[in-house]
Amino acid sequence: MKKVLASFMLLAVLFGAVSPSFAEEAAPVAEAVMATTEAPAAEAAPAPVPDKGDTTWMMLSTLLVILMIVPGLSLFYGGLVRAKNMLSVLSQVFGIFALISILWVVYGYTLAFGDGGSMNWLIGDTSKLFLAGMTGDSTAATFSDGVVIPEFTFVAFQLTFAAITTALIIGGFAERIKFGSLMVFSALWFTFAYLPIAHMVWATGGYLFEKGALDFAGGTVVHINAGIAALVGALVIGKRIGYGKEPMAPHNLPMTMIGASLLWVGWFGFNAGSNLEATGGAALAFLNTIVATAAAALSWMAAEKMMRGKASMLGIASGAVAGLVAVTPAAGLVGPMGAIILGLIAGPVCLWAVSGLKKSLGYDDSLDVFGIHAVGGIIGAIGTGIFVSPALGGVGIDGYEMGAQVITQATGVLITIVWSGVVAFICFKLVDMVMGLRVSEEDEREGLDTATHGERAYNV
Amino acid sequence: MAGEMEKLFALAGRIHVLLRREHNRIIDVEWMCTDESYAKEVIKIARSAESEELLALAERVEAVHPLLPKPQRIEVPIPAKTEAKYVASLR
Repeated sequence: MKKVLASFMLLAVLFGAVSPSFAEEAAPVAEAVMATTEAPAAEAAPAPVPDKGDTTWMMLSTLLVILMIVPGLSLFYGGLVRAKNMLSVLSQVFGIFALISILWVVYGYTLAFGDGGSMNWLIGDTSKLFLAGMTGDSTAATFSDGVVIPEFTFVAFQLTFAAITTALIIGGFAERIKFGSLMVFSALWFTFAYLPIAHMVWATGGYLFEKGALDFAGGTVVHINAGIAALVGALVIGKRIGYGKEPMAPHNLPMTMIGASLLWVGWFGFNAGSNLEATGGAALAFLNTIVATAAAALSWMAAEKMMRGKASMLGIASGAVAGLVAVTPAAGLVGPMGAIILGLIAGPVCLWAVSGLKKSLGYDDSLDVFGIHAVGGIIGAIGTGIFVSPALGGVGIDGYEMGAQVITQATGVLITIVWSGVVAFICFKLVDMVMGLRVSEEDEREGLDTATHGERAYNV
Repeated sequence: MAGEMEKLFALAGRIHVLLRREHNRIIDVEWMCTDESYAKEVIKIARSAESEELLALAERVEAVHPLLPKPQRIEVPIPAKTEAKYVASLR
């Protein structure tokens, strides 16, 4: 009965959550230049055509973000768990990427970026369900008037964001969740947490977008969102057997380092690609993605050396990731020096979050998703409001006033925390009621690789 | 030196008493203190006797006997520090 209900839930998410509108034509995203009928002599301006350089850059950026997810995140997380759970982590990341890819093109894109009418402050519409009406000639607007990119490119790029956000969450409760339950949870959370927050922050008419909240590449939408959901998952599912008593050493730190490196390289697509064009704005985001990361790696290293006497490789890699997270909302908005300061702050603060804070609160966030992504994202979100200031080297925005902007940023952070947390809690509880979240004690001790997937990572 | 020999004789005497009383073995205490190979053999017997007291006495004889090489202490690596590093934390 539980399995039937679970299958129904997944199908409901896929097909029953929204009403289909196959007959509706897709609302054009790009602004079309209309010819006037009163002046026959005037010629209509041609519709903007995507620039090949911009299109190439966006496809490359999409590719880079996929690199972040499938090998990058998989290996980063995989190396941190015990050997008996390596394949489970790889499978979960891969599986979630595949699942969200499909859900995105079925209903995710239209709900995230469509015009939701009276509900547009929260969510889009269903006009582009199944990408209805979209062709190779369809275009999507960029931040520059009259500059467009192919809409398919925009769809693909944003698809990767949705996928990586959902995949990040698994680190919070690695080594103890049922695979099937995780997939169902992922579909639900993507639908009811990721899509509304993405719409509110990034879509015209979205509540936070209209308030002026700044989030260049996803500090709130991706990192705070995922970090909070991971923490909620860790609390709902409970601690691993033996947590706090047995050592649970990372089984392959070289893999983690390879994963972290792939994350850094891929993040250039994540941040610079969020500019949607190959311009100076992308170049700024590109440079910020280097210097913030470097600063955070150094500051984490220094803090760890002072605290513990030694700077660990895991610390350097984690510091780099913390810097990447912190610069994500700021990448195209702050100057390089502002990015460095964000990185310098993120390093030690996230180190404290994954050690002191975690130990004092006692939660088992297996792979420190909250400490790095949520905390780092908050630093970046608030910091964006400060360092966007032209006086501090930022690009500036119309009507900018630092105090007001920081309050707006904080509002965005708070709304994301509450929405993500509440939705995650409900989704976890729902899935738990229907099909259970946690594997049996025997399976957990045996290891998820053999218990869930019937194979071992290492046959030596 | 004289003090150490006195100590050695005392230890050898205690080994003699325990071996005689509990294991029906008689040893030559003086010979044990002056002959290296005989001392090694007695220590070997004391160690194999499955008595904590004889084991302790044998170790003390090894430490003070002028003709026997001083026992080397093997430092057992302490894994506890490394193990505690990964309890409730990845770092």
